[in-house]
Amino acid sequence: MFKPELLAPAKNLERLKVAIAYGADAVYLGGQNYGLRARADNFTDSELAHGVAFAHHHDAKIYVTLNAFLHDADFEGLPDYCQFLESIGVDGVIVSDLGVIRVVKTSSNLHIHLSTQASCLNSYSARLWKEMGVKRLIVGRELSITEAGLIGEESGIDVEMFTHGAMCMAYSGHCTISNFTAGRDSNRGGCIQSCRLPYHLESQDKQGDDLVSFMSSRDLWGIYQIGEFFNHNICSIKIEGRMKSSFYVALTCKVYRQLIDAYAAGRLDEQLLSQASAELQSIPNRDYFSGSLETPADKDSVFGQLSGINTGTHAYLGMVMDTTPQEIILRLLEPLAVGDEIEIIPFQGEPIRWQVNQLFSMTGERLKSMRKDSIVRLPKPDDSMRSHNITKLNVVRFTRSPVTVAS
Amino acid sequence: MQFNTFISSIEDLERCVNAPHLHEVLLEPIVLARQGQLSKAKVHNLAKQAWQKKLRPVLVWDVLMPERVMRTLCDQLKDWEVSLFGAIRVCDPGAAYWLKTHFPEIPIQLIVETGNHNLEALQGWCEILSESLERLVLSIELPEEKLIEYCQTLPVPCELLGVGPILLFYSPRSLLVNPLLESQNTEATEDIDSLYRFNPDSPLYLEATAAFADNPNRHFPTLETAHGTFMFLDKDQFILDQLDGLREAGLHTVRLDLRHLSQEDNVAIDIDQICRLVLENPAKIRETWFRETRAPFFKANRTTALFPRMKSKLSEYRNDACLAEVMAGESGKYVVFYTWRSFEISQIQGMVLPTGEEIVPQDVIFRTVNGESVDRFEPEQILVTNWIKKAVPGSLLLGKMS
Repeated sequence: MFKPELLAPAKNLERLKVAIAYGADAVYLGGQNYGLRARADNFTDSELAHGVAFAHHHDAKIYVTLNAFLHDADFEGLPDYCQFLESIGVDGVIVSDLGVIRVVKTSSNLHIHLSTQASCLNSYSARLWKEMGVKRLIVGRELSITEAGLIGEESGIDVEMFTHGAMCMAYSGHCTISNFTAGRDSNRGGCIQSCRLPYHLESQDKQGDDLVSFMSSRDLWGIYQIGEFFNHNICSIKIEGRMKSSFYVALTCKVYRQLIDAYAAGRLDEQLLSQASAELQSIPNRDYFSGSLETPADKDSVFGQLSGINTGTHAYLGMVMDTTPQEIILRLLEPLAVGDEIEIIPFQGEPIRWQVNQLFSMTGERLKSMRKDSIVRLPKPDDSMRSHNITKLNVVRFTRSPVTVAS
Repeated sequence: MQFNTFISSIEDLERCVNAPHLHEVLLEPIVLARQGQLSKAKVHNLAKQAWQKKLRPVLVWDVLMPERVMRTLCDQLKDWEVSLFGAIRVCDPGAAYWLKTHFPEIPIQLIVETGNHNLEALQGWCEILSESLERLVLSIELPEEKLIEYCQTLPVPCELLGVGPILLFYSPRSLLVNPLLESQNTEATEDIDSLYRFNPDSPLYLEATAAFADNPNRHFPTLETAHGTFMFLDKDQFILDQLDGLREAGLHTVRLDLRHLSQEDNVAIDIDQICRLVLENPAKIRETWFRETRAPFFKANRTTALFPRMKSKLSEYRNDACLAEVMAGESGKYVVFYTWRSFEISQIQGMVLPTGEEIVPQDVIFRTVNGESVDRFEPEQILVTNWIKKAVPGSLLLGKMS
């Protein structure tokens, strides 16, 4: 049976491995140049080669973003970089700029995926991009799944859609607020996310005393449309978030993997959807909605919360770095104390709940608590816990909610 | 070099007739143009009148179109007298391709104001649209030097905004109705809901200003029409006093966008006087212009300068010579490394800190998590060492390049 590819973001090598471990079929990431996430770690050439080898070893694919809109001077080194990407076996490049497409075509045989930044929204546009050598369209988030399916059918080109994550309020690539108000090119990786800010809005009939967040979009989720992606032959469903945490990558990959597999096996039901919803609510979000996947995003699509994003129902604690039969070694992104209740998220299956009874430093010193950004040893509390399949790269969360902070 | 401008009335047309070097007028129907306010009948009438007055009418079809919208609009366009227009101006590549396919005789003016900032892309559009392409409408984010180069190099004539509002944001979503209207009339929810459904004939035209919370004195004009929400900079683009180089380079058209200065049904107020002044004394226009002016990227676009500073200082070290990374440590006690590749202790040459400082650690003993001392290491291994001064998380252990 046809199954859409599950495509996940990776900011760095760790997240690439997390994405694949939790079920991604493919990962997209950025190199040091030509991408839209200037602040992300982004992969060096050496890391990229390692990441591609790792992915291929696990039957996963790697797509590299070359999706900035370039000025002439930015093209320096691009042909050589394309040849390098081809030589290490990259499976495709994600491109927005027609100039970049032309350079990729003349310098390599890389498969070109048209970035959503290019706002391909209709079948005539799709035909035109196909003529230019594009092999896959990542269509604009303004489209419904039905429309995307029609575009694929009429143009004879593979169509990929975003199914989860943050959304631009503007047509992608058509917002230059950062350029003109902060001197940072949003289409070359410098977006300052002005759409998320509160504004004083004034009109003839309304004074602007109150602050309103009128341009901030709620986050997309497509858990209730999984079957539609199948029905309309959407070749790949994509999770947004190259700047997001390993926790986010792990949870989103795990949830969508389960849903895709369940639908393919004919066992996607209300209970599974309800679990998926709860899991996705555990990570930070801006009140999910289904975007334009079914009908165009309407007045309810604005995330009006001025105090920042929802921090999710569970706080991210850290990641398992290693395990032995007796203990796990855990990297902490938040402080941990004896008595805390935590949940380890395995690659498959239910979260493993655990009360921390003992805590040791890496040199074996007994601790009552440990600060964040450190590594600790946690003895497994009993034999039953030892039988669980806890392994390196498992993400770990508190059972409690995080403390709310404004973004 | 010619001028063009938007018009919406016979009075506008009359003023254009009297405007020197203005040979072309832009007509914006509600159904096709982002800011359109004209009915189909009015557009047809103005187009006919324009020809009679020796002005070339151009139909503006600058909305971006999801499939459902494109199908609706293309169906409607079949009833239009497209031959009435000298050219059709589009932004969506799908619209350009549709015109090239169904009306190959109609010249296309392609708006490439966003995301087309290099010669390679612009040449690409010229090749793809070939004979159908009459003009490229270039971006004001390009510096003068590049604009001159493109005007001289590209095989089609180019146009540039000479004066007018700077568009910052184009969303298909309805963003003003809710905060502006709903609060006033909560009982009319049903009517308001209908405004959110795409209706190309909707008369919706809401205007407001938006100001940042931390800079409440800058009011960005914001507009909602049937096609979505648009935000503009609070200052106008203005290069009318800097056109000499572009004129010499062969810039074909300078657009004078006065829509934001409209009065009643007229959007080309004083266009005749403005054109005259551009030719006679452009500096004076800037002095007396209706709003503050600027041309932020005309002399140089420095928005790239920031990027090198945003990159990690360690990026260049994350290569085949990088052996391991510091993950954590306790001051004065120990450091925890995570290995990236297999190596031997003799290969270690030094460390680089997140600040970029390089150090050479002395007398380091590496132990596994079981406490065994080791001098050969496997990839993805956790190692604990004695304390290394300055070795904070993110520091890299370096060896020789293989």
